[in-house]
Amino acid sequence: MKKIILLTTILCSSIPAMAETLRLSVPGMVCQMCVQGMRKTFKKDVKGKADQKIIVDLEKKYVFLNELKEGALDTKSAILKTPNTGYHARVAQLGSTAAVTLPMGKIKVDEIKKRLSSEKIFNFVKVEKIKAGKDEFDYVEIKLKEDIDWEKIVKMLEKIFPEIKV
Amino acid sequence: MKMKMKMIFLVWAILGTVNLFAHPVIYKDGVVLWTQLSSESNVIRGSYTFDPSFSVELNSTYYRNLDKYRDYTLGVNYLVKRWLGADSQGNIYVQAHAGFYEQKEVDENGFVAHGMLMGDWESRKYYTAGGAMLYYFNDQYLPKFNARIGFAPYDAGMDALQSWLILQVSYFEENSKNIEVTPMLRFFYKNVLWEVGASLKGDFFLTLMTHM
Repeated sequence: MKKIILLTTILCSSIPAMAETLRLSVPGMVCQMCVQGMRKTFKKDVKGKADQKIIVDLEKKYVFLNELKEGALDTKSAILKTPNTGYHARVAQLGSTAAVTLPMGKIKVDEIKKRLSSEKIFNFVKVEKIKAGKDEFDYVEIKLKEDIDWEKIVKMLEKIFPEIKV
Repeated sequence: MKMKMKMIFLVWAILGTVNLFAHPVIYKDGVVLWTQLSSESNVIRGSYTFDPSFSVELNSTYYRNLDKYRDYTLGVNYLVKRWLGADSQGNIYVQAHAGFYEQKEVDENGFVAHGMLMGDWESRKYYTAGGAMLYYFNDQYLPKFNARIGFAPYDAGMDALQSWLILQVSYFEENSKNIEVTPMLRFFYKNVLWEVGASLKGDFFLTLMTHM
């Protein structure tokens, strides 16, 4: 019996925790300097080498922070940290949490809730005023009711909130 | 938004850059080492970006035809405004430098200050930049103008070699006498940028830059 418990313990401890990916939509990135800026800013938030774990899609303007260190970032802190790169994140997603930044005070909270309720997969969590870099935004946090592709999340949020489009 | 972009173009068209320093302000804690060499001048510069709108730099500039002018200055760069488009960005920067100059041919030396207003707009396909610089030394003000336009023959993804074909037009009467037109190739790979070209007069032009 003891051997079984010991074996189970060893097996469980050797299974790595599910590494998460934090995704950001960052408009305006055009060159390799943007890539370097993302890597420099977020290198301490991922496990392993930033060159391998931080992926920047210059065409779609997405940043993927793969194998995020446990507790290193959430959607809000990632949005707050992005201005160190010289850019702003307008949509973020980590696990079942998504977030969008809206121009401050442009849409009332009731309206935000109403618009989000038009899509079944979104559950409104909160709106909070944040200062990301020099700019102030309404940070809107959303719970995702089902697992959905990142690109679809961005497109749906752009449709619901055309105000986030640059 | 379109109106704002037009404004950037207007500023660029009016001003035309000087020692175009890619982005003089980069990401927080970013360090840039940069040198630009040509037959008639050379510049070496190192900068540190404190936050994405402000950097400090050390600079040394040499102009052969300006009585072998060389300066050593400390300067600041400030990002006045950045416009982020879906697939483009526009920036306006100001720069101010002060320090010491010497002209070996005429045995002059003393205080020098220079300021610059610079704008750029770029997408993954097109690139424009321009600026005006004003030198003050030995009780005289010397303006310098420079403008660039370029395009990328292909879209480069992350960590791929990014290539540009660029045409630079510059004017600094005291050094080069005439408008200089310099076609060049720009390459950008990871954190290293280099530019190679030659003016229509045949003078070589080389830029090397790395950021960390």
